[in-house]
Amino acid sequence: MRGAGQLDPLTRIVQAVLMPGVAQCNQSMEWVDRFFAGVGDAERLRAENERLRSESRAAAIYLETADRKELEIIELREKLGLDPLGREKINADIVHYVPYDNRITLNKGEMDGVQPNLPVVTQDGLLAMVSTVSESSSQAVLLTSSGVSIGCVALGKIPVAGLVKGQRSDRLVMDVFENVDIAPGTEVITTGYSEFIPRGIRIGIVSEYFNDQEYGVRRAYILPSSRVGMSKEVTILK
Amino acid sequence: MKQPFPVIGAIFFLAVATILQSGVFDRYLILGAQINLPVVVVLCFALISRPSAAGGLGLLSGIFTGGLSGATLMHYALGRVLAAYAVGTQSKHEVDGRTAIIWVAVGSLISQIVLILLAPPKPLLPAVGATILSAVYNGVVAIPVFALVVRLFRPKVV
Repeated sequence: MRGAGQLDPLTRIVQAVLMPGVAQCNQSMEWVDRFFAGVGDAERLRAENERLRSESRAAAIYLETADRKELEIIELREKLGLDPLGREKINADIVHYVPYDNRITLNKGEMDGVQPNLPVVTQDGLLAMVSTVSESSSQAVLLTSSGVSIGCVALGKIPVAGLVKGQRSDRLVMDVFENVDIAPGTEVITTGYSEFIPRGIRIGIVSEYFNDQEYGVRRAYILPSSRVGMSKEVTILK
Repeated sequence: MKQPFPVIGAIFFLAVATILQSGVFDRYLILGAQINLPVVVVLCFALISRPSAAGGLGLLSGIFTGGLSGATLMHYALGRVLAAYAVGTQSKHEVDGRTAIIWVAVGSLISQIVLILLAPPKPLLPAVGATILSAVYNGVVAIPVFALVVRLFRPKVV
């Protein structure tokens, strides 16, 4: 029976009776092993703990400073009469996905304040742009659609601005207008030169750069950081 | 071992020994060899039982160990039946603790040699060395186990 990928009844009985005890024993021994390993590594763990504590203190000071600076920026923008930073967030769920059209349906609509052209983001970055809105739901076109084109910046040694649009479900293409090289691995974010899309939202990572001097064509191929399927929950930035 | 209590007790001891072997002793090698607690338990019971009962316990031990490992039951069972039966022949003598150490070591060697003959490991020489060392360990472990078995299960002459 073992040859056929099955256990014989006797072995099945033995395993059913004894295996829970063996599993319990194994778990207990792992605790014991971990305990003694901890005792053996105590000095290293103590040093690491001290290092992490000091890093944590430094990070807390940094965050406090950053918060203060942000407050200052908000106050200054108010004094200069500029629009306030930050967007209202509308959390939504993807309730439908049509791969053929590169389109998703979200369960939030006009009643929740959703409007066309608002960006839809996930924790990984920009996913889509709202295209049509009904009372209680909305549809968004994915960034990977060839119909979407937005301003972007490649954050290399020299930041390079360009236009990114969808090419296929796992690739975006960025048209570069300056004669510079972009190294693969460079992060690409939104420019923020838009009424709807704020600056700094992650778009993806450059996977390939194509610079044809003869025809003056410069293109960066980008691996999108946010993809449908990675999460059901999204945020619409109002 | 004609009363039910020693039989149930022996099976219980054997089950616990098998669990401890798989869960605890199999994790640790001492100089390349390890203690085999189920074999020690079988052989300690064999020293106070009739050879046939000892053989039966050896068979059960082989089934337990083989069943848990998912290996061929026969290899373990045959080695342990033979070893337990051979050691069981000594039960007609009043075996003391010191003699028990020797018989458990000898029984361990028999069971392991049968296993090596039925399923020769590669390379062979280190396995033989580990068998001898394991027999020594089993002999040492037999001191408390045999004392416990005798205290709980040896028939008392009134």
